[in-house]
Amino acid sequence: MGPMIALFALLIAVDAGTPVTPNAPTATSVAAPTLRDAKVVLADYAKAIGDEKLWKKHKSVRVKREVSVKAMQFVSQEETRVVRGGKILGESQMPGMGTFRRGSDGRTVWAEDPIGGLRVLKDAEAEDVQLGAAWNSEWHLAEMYAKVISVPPPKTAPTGQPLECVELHKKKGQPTTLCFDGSKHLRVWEQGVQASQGGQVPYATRFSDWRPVDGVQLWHHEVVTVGPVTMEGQIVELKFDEPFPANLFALPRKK
Amino acid sequence: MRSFPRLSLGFLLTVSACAGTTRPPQPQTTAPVSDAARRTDPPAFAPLAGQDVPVRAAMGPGKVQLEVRQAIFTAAWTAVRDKDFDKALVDKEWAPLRSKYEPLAMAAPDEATFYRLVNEMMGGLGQSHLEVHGPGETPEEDRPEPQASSSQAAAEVIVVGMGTGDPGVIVREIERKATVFSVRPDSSAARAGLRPGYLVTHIGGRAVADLPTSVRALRPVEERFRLRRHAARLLSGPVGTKVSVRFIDGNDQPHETMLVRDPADRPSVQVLLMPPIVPEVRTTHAGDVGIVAFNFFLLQPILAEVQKAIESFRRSGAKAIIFDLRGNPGGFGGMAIPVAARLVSREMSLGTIQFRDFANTLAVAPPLDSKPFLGKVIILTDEGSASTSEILAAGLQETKRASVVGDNTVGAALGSTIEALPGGAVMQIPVAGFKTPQGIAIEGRGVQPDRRVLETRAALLAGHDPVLDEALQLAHSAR
Repeated sequence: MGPMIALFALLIAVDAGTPVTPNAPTATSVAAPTLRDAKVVLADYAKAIGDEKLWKKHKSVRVKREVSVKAMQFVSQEETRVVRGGKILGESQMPGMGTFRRGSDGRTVWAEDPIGGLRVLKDAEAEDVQLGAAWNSEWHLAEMYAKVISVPPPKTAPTGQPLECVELHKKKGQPTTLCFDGSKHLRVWEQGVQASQGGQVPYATRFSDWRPVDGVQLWHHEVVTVGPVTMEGQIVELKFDEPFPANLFALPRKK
Repeated sequence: MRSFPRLSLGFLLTVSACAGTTRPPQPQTTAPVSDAARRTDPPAFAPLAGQDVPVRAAMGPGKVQLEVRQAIFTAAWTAVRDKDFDKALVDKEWAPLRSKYEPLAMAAPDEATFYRLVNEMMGGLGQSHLEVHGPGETPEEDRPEPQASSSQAAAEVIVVGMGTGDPGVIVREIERKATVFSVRPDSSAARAGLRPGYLVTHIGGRAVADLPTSVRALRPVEERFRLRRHAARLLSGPVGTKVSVRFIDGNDQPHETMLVRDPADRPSVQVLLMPPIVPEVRTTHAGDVGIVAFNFFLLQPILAEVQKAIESFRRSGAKAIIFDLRGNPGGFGGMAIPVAARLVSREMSLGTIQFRDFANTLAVAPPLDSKPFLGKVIILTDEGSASTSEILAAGLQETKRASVVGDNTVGAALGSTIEALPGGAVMQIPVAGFKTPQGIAIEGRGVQPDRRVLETRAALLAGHDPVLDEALQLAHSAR
């Protein structure tokens, strides 16, 4: 049982194009007539989000997000801190349920929450956290994964716009499919299976509300579907280069 | 940096609070937890406060009412179609049920009838955790006492405070009769002289045994569950109001008394769309046996208190812990995991929850930051133990980590979500099935105790709790 921390949603684009509308009216799915090489698709994405140098000038970021499940009238707050070098801490404050945390100091990946208690994560669970902690991952997706291949848009992907999709094969976990706007090359859709203490959890995410953040494009809104639950995440605050305590990301000590 | 899906939220928001296994469904049962402070449970969910309530039509629904009803009906029907875990069942049964019930519900003379019909439609699927409530619904039990049944009752019903209270008595079916199971010390019921073992014939002027008709045959344990819930709903009401109770004492003498619905003695909590719940954890010792009882599976604040109790028993060298889950209707399904984790020395599974398109194991592992209790574990159950109570009991029983003592549980073990519908209505939807590690579904079956022990009127009148006595004997035999 891992936390439901939405680390964040970082996306960038040189061109501050029209945000993708998350619930735009749908039409027939229009796939690219031929599949471009996955590495080319990912390179276009990297260009679209902006110059990596703009991101690399920072050393850390803290993102606050509001997560809501409208059908349940449920709202939670989550905060994620990432520091170069693979350090990450995501915390979700769940009303009536407690605090759910996931972190890594670059070596040990861990989780702590009311259900699973304090755990050291391994294998695919740890890999997912480590992927989330990678500082420049958006510019280096092709290198971060064991294999990347172009695939047609999944049937569940949004329709009404040309999409280019890439399947990212993790080293340990199951593949993730990322789909990009065929013209703006921004991330539109992701679906995959995430490892948890209880097994594999399929999910799908739609990204939107692109805004420039210090020169790079970042999606600020996402709609995530996990089984019967649909939740929305909205970035409400983002700060770079704040000082964090040195032990913030380490495995919490036994009580 | 990649997006990091909130992978567990789906499960976390799954509530395994049993709202009822009978039809017409109504908010849930009572939750007696131990020998003393037993507090009437709130329903698993309730209509949203502050919503517009359609005006009840004297001669039939008006245009606005019809629009609201249609919106509620459509949303409820669609939610089941899209989210109910048993897609094969829904594909087969759901459209015909709509055809049958939609015209009836829309033509209902009042909202109570509308909701009853919608819930009858839901009941056609034969699942627990599936029901709708909304503004304008007035279950039979909520109506004021009839003037004729009690000379004082109706006239003395006054609201003196906010919130729901109860007079401090739990009524269960024991030896086929509605019987006082427990009386909260210093409660209105205690002051009026009610004692465990007394028979209760009428509450609020209504015969306790006069239950609403069920449209399907119920298992005996469901009948007992339903009576318990029915009595609890008759007893509960706005704090400060009064309710008449007719009872037969230990000498078989009839009495009638007027009880006051006492306020809760601690703050309530509200999570998701569930109504306020008064959390209660009680811990006691019987020699070197620890006993912990709690009335709901809540991550806050109950989990921490239960963990604290387990740790306290472990530190004090207790030989056994008895978990009294009698009357516990469930709550957050996930809470079964951290409770079990404090009782095992190695990884194990409590079972599997099956959503429509994926399954998850209820994986239990001893946490890094605490030591588990490794003595004997005994779980007490009865017909009011439902849902997460059943998940915990079944999982620990099947893996031989716990012995179960008491009565069969009701068999209402599904994962559900509680969602808002249009017009202030609220719905509980079963979104996940549950099976034990050996693949046994508890829904519709219940947990069968290792030692089936039933309370008797004679034992209650004598001040005994036969189920707890048996558990203590079992605990001591473990030495």
